[in-house]
Amino acid sequence: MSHIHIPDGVLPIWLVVIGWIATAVILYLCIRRVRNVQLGRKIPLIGIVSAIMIVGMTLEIVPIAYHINMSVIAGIVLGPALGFISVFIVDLMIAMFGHGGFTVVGLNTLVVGTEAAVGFYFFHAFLGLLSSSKISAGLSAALATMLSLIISTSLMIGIVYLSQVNPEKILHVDKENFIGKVFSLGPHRENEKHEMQDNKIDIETFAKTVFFLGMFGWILEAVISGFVIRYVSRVRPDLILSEAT
Amino acid sequence: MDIGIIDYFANSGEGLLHRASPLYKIISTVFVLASIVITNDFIVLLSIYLMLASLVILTRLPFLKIISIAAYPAIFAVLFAISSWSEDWIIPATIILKALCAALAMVILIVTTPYPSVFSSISPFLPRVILEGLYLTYRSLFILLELMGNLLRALRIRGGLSPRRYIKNISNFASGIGLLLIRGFDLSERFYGVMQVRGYSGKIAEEERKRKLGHEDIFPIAVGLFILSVSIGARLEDDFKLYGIYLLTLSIVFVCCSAYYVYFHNSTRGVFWKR
Amino acid sequence: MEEIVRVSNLRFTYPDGTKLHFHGLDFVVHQGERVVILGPNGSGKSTLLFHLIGLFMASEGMISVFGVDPSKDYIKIRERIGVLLQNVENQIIAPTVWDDISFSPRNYGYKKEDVKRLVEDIIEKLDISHLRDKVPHYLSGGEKTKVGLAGALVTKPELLILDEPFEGLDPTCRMDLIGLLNRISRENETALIISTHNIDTVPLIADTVYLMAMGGEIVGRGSPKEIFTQLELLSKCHIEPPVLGALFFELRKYGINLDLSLTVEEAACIIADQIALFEKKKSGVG
Repeated sequence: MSHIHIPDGVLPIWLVVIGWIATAVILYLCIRRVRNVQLGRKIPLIGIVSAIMIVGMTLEIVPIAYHINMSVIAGIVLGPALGFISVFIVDLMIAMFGHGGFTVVGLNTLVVGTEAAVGFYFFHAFLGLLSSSKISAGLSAALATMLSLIISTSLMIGIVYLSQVNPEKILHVDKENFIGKVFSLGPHRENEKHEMQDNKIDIETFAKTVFFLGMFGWILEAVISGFVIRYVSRVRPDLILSEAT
Repeated sequence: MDIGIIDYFANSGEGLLHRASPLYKIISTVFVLASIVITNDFIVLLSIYLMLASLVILTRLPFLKIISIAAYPAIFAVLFAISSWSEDWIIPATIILKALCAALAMVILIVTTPYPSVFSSISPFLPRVILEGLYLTYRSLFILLELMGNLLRALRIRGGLSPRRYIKNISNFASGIGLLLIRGFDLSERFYGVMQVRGYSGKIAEEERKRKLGHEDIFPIAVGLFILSVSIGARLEDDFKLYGIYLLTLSIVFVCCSAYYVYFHNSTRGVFWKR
Repeated sequence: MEEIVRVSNLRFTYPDGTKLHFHGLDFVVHQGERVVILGPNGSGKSTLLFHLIGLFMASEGMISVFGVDPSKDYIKIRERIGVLLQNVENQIIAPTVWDDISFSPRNYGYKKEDVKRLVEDIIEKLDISHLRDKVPHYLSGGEKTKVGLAGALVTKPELLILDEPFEGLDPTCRMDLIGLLNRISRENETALIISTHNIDTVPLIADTVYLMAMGGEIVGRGSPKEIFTQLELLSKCHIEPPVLGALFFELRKYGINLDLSLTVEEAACIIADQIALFEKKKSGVG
């Protein structure tokens, strides 16, 4: 896996809701940004790139979970705003068939959308630095992918770390009423000490596991992204070097 | 991730859940997801999983295939489970079970409801660009899947994917993806042209026609409500753990009854396979 | 009959720099007329059609469809034009057959009842009621063509443009489609513009044939019979005459001069008449 999908039921509700709100806000900003740029023309493009990302996910490089993601390629080709929209569409669709949690689509979109957006900027930065080299486009894409995946994985670990924080101490939630009890942000019964709210995820172990397993996927995805962009830059350079949104 | 099979099941299945309205199935799924998020009780989650498994049986679709599709998130859940290990297997098992239950609930929805119907039902909550993007993604997916299949076949036939030539294989495979990207762009331009010619102004698909609650809709709603109430009860009631075993037994009975009804009962045996 | 399309001396440059110049005869279509464009691969048939539907803009020349330049004002005339592209897969956009057929009227702002009536009407006419709720990617090639055609005809257009509509269809489907197009043209006075390679279908569907050579030159215009008697012109365009036409030309080498016939029924009549004449002469001599 080049990145981890957060599954359902692991993170606290408040964090999930914040994820949805943050994603909604970013989507709103992205849609506003692209509205003036022939939105009608972009919608089929979003559909195609989203479909290509999903098709890419059906190709398991290594059986059980290693598959290419192409979020950085989507970012390079579509630009950060459309890339983020495309990532949301993909996460929504794949959550429907159990690939990644549905309640955490917001958070997953933040993580993967960051890859797409950051990947776009890294790609152009590296392209500027390596412009004299013959393999500049491919190498830039590979480096951008690697860095983007490291950043998005760190973001995901940060989100999991945040999930360990008990916001009741900040928010003073009333645990006596029905809603407070049901959607309690923290433990409210004495015998809950063995239940999940008391149990913290060992962030250090989690981060080490994720980085170790993810590294192989990042290298693979970086290499593949590099080859893909190198191919596209030879055949249709306008697709990756035009003014993306 | 076999999208083609999922889509085929959704469009050609004829089980009880296929006949229910998409909107009510979505509502039921939301109830189930809410209950999975609310509850942290292992027995309750196991009971929920078994009840969902009975629903899979009632769809009359290949049981193991559906269960295996919904087992994918367990891989990611294991990572979280490993990190939560504290000499007590219950917590990691609960984490994995939560992921499995949630995935199974979603998969049951999507193998009994075509994607376009799901999109139409949730259209009031989505901005136009997202909704239209979803429809076009769905439409493009199958064209591109076929294209990808043809590309891979061509690579194999022409020696582009050979054993032990790892770098070359990756390079050729990536070129295939690159070609897919380029063809995809051409396709998007053609789609745009056709949409303009055909007068596109923001309506790719018709809104799902709302219908009144029918008897086919009562079943998924009832199941969803039952699961949600059990989860809320387990959360609120300190003594609920005493009733856990009864709940588990009930869910096992549910599985057995569903299996009997679909596979062994004379009036329904072979009904699916005859069609 | 009212002239609805005229193309004259058009110049166009593809994105890769290849230039095309539609010159020679003017391309003209009248109301209710069935026009077929014949030409080899790369002669610009599809490009000409794309100009008519406003997808391409010429750099020079004159093009008029229902009195407007489609590249500038296609919106004014699009409800009067139905289009069926070569690869119908690229034309079916919506997730279900019903959604796709109703795509144009819904987007043109028709009322729901009118949309329903129009779609039901065309579904009935094309006999595809059983496909109403199907998803397009499970349909056969022939079914997709019918769905594409339904989408093109749903608003009862005055002009129907079809790019290689017979490609990939088996003989039965092809004949069904020809019958359907002829019926639509006859009943609704719909003009047809069809580009095709399929020579043998031309006599069955064309009132007028335009012959295009490589580079976009329009070298011939006339009825199917007039065109298929001009063997040199056909050869210039790398087009073989229809099988029946070729047969009648071969018979002339044996001194049997019969009127050129391009349909099986006509040919059978002519040959039967000739045989009867021959028998009569023979019995007269005897």
